[in-house]
This record gives sequence, C-alpha cells and structure tokens, in this order.
Amino acid sequence: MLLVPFLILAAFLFSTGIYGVLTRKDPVLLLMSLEVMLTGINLNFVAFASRYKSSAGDIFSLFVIAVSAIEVGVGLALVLALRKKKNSVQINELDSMRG
Amino acid sequence: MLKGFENQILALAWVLPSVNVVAFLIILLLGKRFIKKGAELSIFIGLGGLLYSLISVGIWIVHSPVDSLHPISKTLFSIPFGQFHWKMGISVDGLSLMMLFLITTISLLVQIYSTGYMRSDLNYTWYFAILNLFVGAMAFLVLSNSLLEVLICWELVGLCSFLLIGHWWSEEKNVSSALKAFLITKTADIFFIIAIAIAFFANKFSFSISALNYLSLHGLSHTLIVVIAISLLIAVIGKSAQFPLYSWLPDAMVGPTPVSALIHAATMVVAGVYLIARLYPVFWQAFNIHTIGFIRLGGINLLAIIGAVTMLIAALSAFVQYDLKKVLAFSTISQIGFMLMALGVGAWSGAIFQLFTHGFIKSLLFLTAGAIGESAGGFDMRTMGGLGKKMKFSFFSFVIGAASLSGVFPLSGFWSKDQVLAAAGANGYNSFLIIGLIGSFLTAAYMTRAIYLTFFGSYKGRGEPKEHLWIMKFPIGVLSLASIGIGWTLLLHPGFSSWTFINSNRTIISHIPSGSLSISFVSSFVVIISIVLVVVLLSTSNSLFNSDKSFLNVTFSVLRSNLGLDFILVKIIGGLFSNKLPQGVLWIEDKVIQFPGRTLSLAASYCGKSLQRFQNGKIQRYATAMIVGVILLGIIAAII
Repeated sequence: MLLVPFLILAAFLFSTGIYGVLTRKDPVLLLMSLEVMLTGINLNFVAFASRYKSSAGDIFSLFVIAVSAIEVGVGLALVLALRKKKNSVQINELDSMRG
Repeated sequence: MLKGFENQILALAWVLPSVNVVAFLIILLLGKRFIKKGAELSIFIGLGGLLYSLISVGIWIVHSPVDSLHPISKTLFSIPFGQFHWKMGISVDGLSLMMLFLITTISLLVQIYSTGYMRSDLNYTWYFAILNLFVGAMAFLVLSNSLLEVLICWELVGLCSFLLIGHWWSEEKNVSSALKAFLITKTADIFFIIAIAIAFFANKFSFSISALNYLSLHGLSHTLIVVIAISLLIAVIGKSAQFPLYSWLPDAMVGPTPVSALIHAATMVVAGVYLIARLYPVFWQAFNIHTIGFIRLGGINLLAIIGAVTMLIAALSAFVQYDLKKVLAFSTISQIGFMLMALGVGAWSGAIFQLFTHGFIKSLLFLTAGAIGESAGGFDMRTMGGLGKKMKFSFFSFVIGAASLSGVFPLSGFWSKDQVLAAAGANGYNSFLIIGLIGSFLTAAYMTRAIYLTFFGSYKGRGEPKEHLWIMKFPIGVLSLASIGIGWTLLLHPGFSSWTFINSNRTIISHIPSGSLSISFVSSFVVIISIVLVVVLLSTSNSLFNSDKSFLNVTFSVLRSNLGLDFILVKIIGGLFSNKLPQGVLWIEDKVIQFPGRTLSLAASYCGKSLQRFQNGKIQRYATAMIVGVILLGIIAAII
C-alpha cells in the first residue's frame, strides 16, 4: 500500500492549517484552521496504522477527534464570551496582556 | 589528692555561682514583693556562699601542702563542636579558693553595707539583682578551667560593672562614664578573643587552661607564646585599668560607692591580675621572666614595665586629686600596677598575696569613704577637713586602711608588699625593687595627704556630719580587722604562699622568699619618711598646692588631666572610630561591595526592558515565533 501520497496530503492539510492559524483574524476561522491541522494529524495516524497493521493509530485518531470536538466547544464558547464583552472578535485586538 | 567526701565538697564549687545567677533572676523578677525588697535573699545567699568558701578553704588548708597540689577538676558539660569537644568545667585549687574567699567575703560585706547606703535608692531591687550576677560571674571566672568560660564570665563582669557604674543613670555624666568603662574594656577584650583563638589552635584544638600552661613550658614556639601573652596583656590592661587605658576607672567613681568597693577589691579589676596569675607559665615564657633585666633575647619584659609605669603615674595622679574617691581609684590603679610588676619580676606569690590583702584594704577604704561622703555631702576633700573629731569611727578605720595600704608594720599591707619586694630582690630585679620602693613612698604620700585633708584642720563644709548607721559600721569594722590581721597568714606554717601555690607553677617557681629583713627595714623607713614629709609640707605651706603659676601647678594640672590620655582616647581615637571609620566603611561598602551587585541589577533590568518588546500580546506573533522555533530545532536536530 502506498504511504507517501497520504503523508503528502497530511502535510498539505497541516501546513494549510498552520497558515490559517497564523494569518486569519477571525477566531472562528482560526478554530477551523486548527481543525484542519488536526485532520492532517489524524490522517497521518490512520495512514501509519493501516501500513503497519496496528490498531493503536486508529484508536489514537479517535481520541484526537474527541478532544478536538471538545476543544471546538470550548473555543466557540470563548468566542461568544468575547463577543459579549468586547463587541468585536478580531484576534489582533486582543492584546491586553502585552508587556 | 583529696579523697571522698572532701573532694566532693570542693567539686561542688560550681553550685555557688549558679545559685548567684538564680538569685539574680529571682530578685529581678520577684524582688519587689519581698519585705526587704530582695536584699534579704541576696544577703542570705551571700552568707551561704561565705560559709561554703570557708569550708572549702578549711579543707584545702588542712590538706595543704602535700595533698593539695593537684587541682580538683570536674567537667560539667562536654559540648561537641564538629571534631572537638569543649569540656566546660571547673577546676578548684588554692588560687581559685583564695579568690572565691575574697569574692564571697567582700561581696557579702558590701551587700550588708549597701542595705544602709542605698536605703533610699529608687532601683534598690535592681541593684541587688545585678550585684548577684556580678558575684556569680566573677566566682565562675575564678573556677573556670577553659579559656572560653573565662571569656564569657569576663564579659559578664564587664557588663555588670557597666550597669552598676551607670546605676544612677538619670544624669548624663554617669551614663557616659559607664559607657566609657564599657567601651574601653570591650576594645581591649577584642585582644582577649584573638589570644583565645590563637591559643585554641596552638593548643591542639582545646580551650583548656592547664593544657595551655603545660604546652607553653613544653614546646610551644616562642613567637606564638609572645603573641598570645601580648594579646592577653592588652586585655588585662583594659580590664585592670592599666596604662594607657586606665582613665575609665577614675571616671567610674560616679557609681555607688559600695560598687566601687566591689569593683576595686574583688571583681572587675582584679580579674586581669587573676588571669595573668592563672596563665602564668605563658607570661613567664613570653617575657622571659627568668632572665633578669628589661631586654633580653627575644622579648621585653612588658608585664613588669607596664605595671611599673602605671604604678608610678597613678600614684602621682592620686596625689593631686581633690575627690576622695578619685584618690582611691588612682590608688587602685597604682596597686594593680604594683601587682602586675610583681608578676613581671617573678614574685607570683607576692602578687597574689598583695591582691588578697589589697582586696580587704581597698574595700575598707571605699566603704569608709562612702560613709564619709554621705555625711559630708560629697567627696570633694576641699569641703571636708576636721572630720577626725566628728567621725571617730570613720577616722580610725580610714587610718587603718591607709596605713595598711602604705605598708606600715605590722598591718596586712606591709607583709604583702614586703614579699613582693623581697622576691624582686631575690630574683635579681634590682631596678624594679627600687621602683617598688618609690611606689611605696608615693602610696604613703597620697594616703597621708588624703587623711590630712579629710580629717585634720577645720571643717569647711556645710551641715553637721554625723556617724552613720550601725549596719554600715559593721562591714567597716570587719574589714578593719582584716586589714590589720589578714597579713599574718603569711607567717603561719605552711602559710599563705603554700596554700595558694598552683600546680602549673611547680616547674617555674622553685622557692618563695619569705621576706628579707633589710628590705623590710628600708621600705618601712621609706614609708615613715614619706608620711613625715607630707605632713610637714601640708602643715607648713598650704600655698604650695594652691599657687597659680608654679611649676608644681603645671605638673598637677597635667596629672589631673590624665596626661592627656583622655584627650587622645576620647577625642582622637573615639572621634576616629565614631566619625572617620564609619565614613570609610560606608565608602567601601558603597564603592566596592555594592558595586558588582548594582551593576548586575542594572544589566538585568536593561535586558528585561529590551526583551519586553517581544511581549506584545499578539497571539499569532507568539504562534509564529513558536513554529519558527520548532522548525529551527528540527533543523538543528537533523543536522546533528
């Protein structure tokens, strides 16, 4: 079974996610980019799992999906709270913790 | 060796100072609730102490000299300090017992006297509490068998005398005199600590006095001994008020008179003489006492020179004072100088005997002077005169004390002085023998002058002087008897010198001369000449001591100003230490010690400020930095 195409696709997804995390100003888009990154990682897990006939990778990817679901929940709650407090949800305006 | 029961009694000597310290606490805390404000407890304990010391002295004398050469030692605590043990304990021998007897007797008499003298004092209870601590510290000092204990007691004695000299602290003069005494003795005590430190390492990590004595005669290098002995001598000079650090003692006269009696006779100033006597082999080796003369190979006989210089200067100063107590203070300085000189010329037994008789004589003189001052309303002899008829008891006791101090045959002072002079002659120290005779001449002169001014002529003060309370007469009476008779203990067989002889001196003092007839004759003659001369001078020409421009007057004013030593000590050295030295220390602290710390803190805050710019609160910048960092780490890991 071919491994490399999956890895290339996973790396592409991960890089896209990183690009999104670093550049998007909207927190919702930022969370989506995070999900894209996690998808890339999951793809890696599953690809290696099927290549080496081990179920550990599959199970781990399930955990990652569960955690990412929770993370999105928390993240969206934070976005809502920010929205209520600041009336704006631009990431680069949240710099009150600067030194 | 003493055995069994008697040994047990002597080994219990440590209880005596402990009881005094406990009494100090009880009187301090509860004294005011007692009927007699704590004085009765103090005197009761004093009686117990006297009883104990009489019993121990009795045991010692009965077994002297064959059995008693070895000191009775007892270790109280063995305190570990890393690799070695500090064996804290006591050692009882003839010298300790003699001192213990002197301390307990005089402190008891002083306390009895104080109940009369201090009867209307505001801090009566406090006074008795401190007296107890004073006595306890001094008693433990003479029992100690290690240098560290001696140091602790030495400092306690200094502290107590500071407290008692400044007893009437509401006047600034008294406080500054007390402070002067404290600071001068403390400064000198630094050298005691130095000496102890050197002795500790030289002595194979031990504070033991007997080991140090043994070692200094067997194999310790001469340079080390000289360093130890000179440091100890400086400490003694401070404590015993010797030249050039004596000016605190006349100033200490501002304290209550019974305290002066105690300080001069049994506690503070004699601690220095005791220390030298106790560590005599060290001084013997350091100053080459066995080789006669001022300067011999490897060492100057500093001990005898300091003693002689002090004796002469203080005796001359005593002659020009108008304050009765100051005459006595300078007399003490002079007599202590005489004792140091005696130790310096190898007259160990004579010096100890002089210490013993001087204790009784000087406390007698002080207690009498206190009574006179109380009646006459001050101690200035110019406002006295003619008291001989009004205060017969004081007159007789003071004359007994003065005659005994001057060394009139056959009073106590005669025997001790004679023994010192005889030993000086026998050891070949002829120059010091002559100096001793001059000192004896001067002693008789200033005591005669003091008696003349106080008791003869016409009364110049105000008010009617009257005799004092019987409770003050009793101690004076006892001390008068002692001043007359205690010297005869020399003549008994085996006698005072044999009772007080200590083991560590066995190899260095081969024989104790029992006095020589010609020297006794000459010294008696000198004393009589001096008395007659002074009486004639005073009764014929009053103007001699009062004229304005005479050469004598200039000399007198120089002597009254303590030879300018006060100026040097207080203004120059004191000023240096209180102004210039702190300034210098501050400068060093600022420029040298704080400099690295300050530079480091400046550098740290600069770094912090420049790094602060990266902390801009932009999450995505942080994330970028993190990712770049991870990638860089990955590259580095790949390369390696």
